[in-house]
Amino acid sequence: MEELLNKISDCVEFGKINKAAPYPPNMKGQDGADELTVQALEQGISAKDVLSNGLIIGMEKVGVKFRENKVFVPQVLMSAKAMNTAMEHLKPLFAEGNTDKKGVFIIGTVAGDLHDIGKNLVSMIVEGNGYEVIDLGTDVPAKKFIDTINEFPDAIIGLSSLLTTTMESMANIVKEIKTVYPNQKVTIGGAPITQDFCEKIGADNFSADPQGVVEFMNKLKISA
Amino acid sequence: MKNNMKGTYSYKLDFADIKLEKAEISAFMGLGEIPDEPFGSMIDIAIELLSTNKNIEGGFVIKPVSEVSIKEGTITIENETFTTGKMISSFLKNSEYAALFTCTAGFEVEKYSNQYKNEGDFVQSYVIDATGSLLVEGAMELIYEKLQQMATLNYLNLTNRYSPGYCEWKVVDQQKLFSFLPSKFCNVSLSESSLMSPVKSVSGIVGIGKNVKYLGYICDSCKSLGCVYRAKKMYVKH
Repeated sequence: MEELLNKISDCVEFGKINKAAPYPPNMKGQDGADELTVQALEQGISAKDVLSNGLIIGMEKVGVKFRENKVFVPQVLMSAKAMNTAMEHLKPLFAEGNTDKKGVFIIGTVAGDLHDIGKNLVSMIVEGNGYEVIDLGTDVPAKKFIDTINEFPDAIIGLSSLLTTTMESMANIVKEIKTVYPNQKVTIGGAPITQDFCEKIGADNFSADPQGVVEFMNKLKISA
Repeated sequence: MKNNMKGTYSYKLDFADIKLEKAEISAFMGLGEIPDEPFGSMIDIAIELLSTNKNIEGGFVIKPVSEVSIKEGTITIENETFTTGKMISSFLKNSEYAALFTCTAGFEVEKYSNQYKNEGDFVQSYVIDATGSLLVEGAMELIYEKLQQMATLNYLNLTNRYSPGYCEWKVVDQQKLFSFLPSKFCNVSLSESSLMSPVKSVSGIVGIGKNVKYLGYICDSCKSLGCVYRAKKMYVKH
């Protein structure tokens, strides 16, 4: 059982989607996340174990490697693709309302900004680490965040901005969220964002990379 | 000596003019010069899709420089003062003229990138986006060469090109920059939050003068230690 779960973890870590996929070259011809997940379920390994002890472990490793510049955006996207392929087999097995998610993460690029590559990477890595992600897209105003928090009161909020000009928009959104929901946790990120800025606008966390967001959320979960 | 450094110039470019190589795109994405499959095929798709793009264009407006203040970190062109920060203003020192430029790779890049994204293929979408980034940088290099030819004919030199967002120069100054360009110049427009459309567009200033210098790579001397390009050790052409 452990060996199979390790193989599934490797497939996510190295972006091996299925047997037919040529990537990565050193795993060519081998089963990928697709086939191995089916095998694991056939052998009686629970969907929860495949997720927690296989897929999430692999995605966590990818997040760390990305932070350390050992892999780049295309490889992370390939890992996310491998993870999503495996998840297609697991989703029907999770009873509705009991998907065993670690929590809910609401993410969006702030109003005025249309950049989404960083936001998408964070979404994929947070999702790959066992959280439900509600992606509000780009150019998201405060009201949309607040309306969504209304639906998911325990959610952690992620705000992304690439432009220095939309940092002000980020500050306003944090302020508006905190006015309505003072205890809602908000994490921020993006190229021009710093720890100083985070403290200045009253956000709860700044992460320079997706794995930092996961670590922040995991810490909140432990202390809850 | 009287010279001809004035006016507004725009150029349409073909994809083939830019001579974008597969190895360059692969290296830009962090995959080395020879990409593994399927990345190689994905780059081929991006090149094929964008090779028929007829909307690659760029141009510049040349204006006399009123003042460069290193102490204030500013450059004043006509009555408009740009707060570029001390570092960029020091690089623009001795500029007699400034070329205010914009250049775009066209709407095709985001059209195809979004198309793949909407189909759930984030990898191909990203490869097209990255190819578009290099395309606009390559196109701007050609526009810079046109400006250089003009400067050389007038016995003048050029600085690097500098854009709002570089070093300490705030992106908000993009609004002032675009006020010098004709409306929808080269089909590039600016949102209230200073986001250019098409997204794969660049804009900025080049200093022109007898005693200005081209400095090449400047990231090592920049104070923006947290800059994404510096952190990823990606070379930024200027």
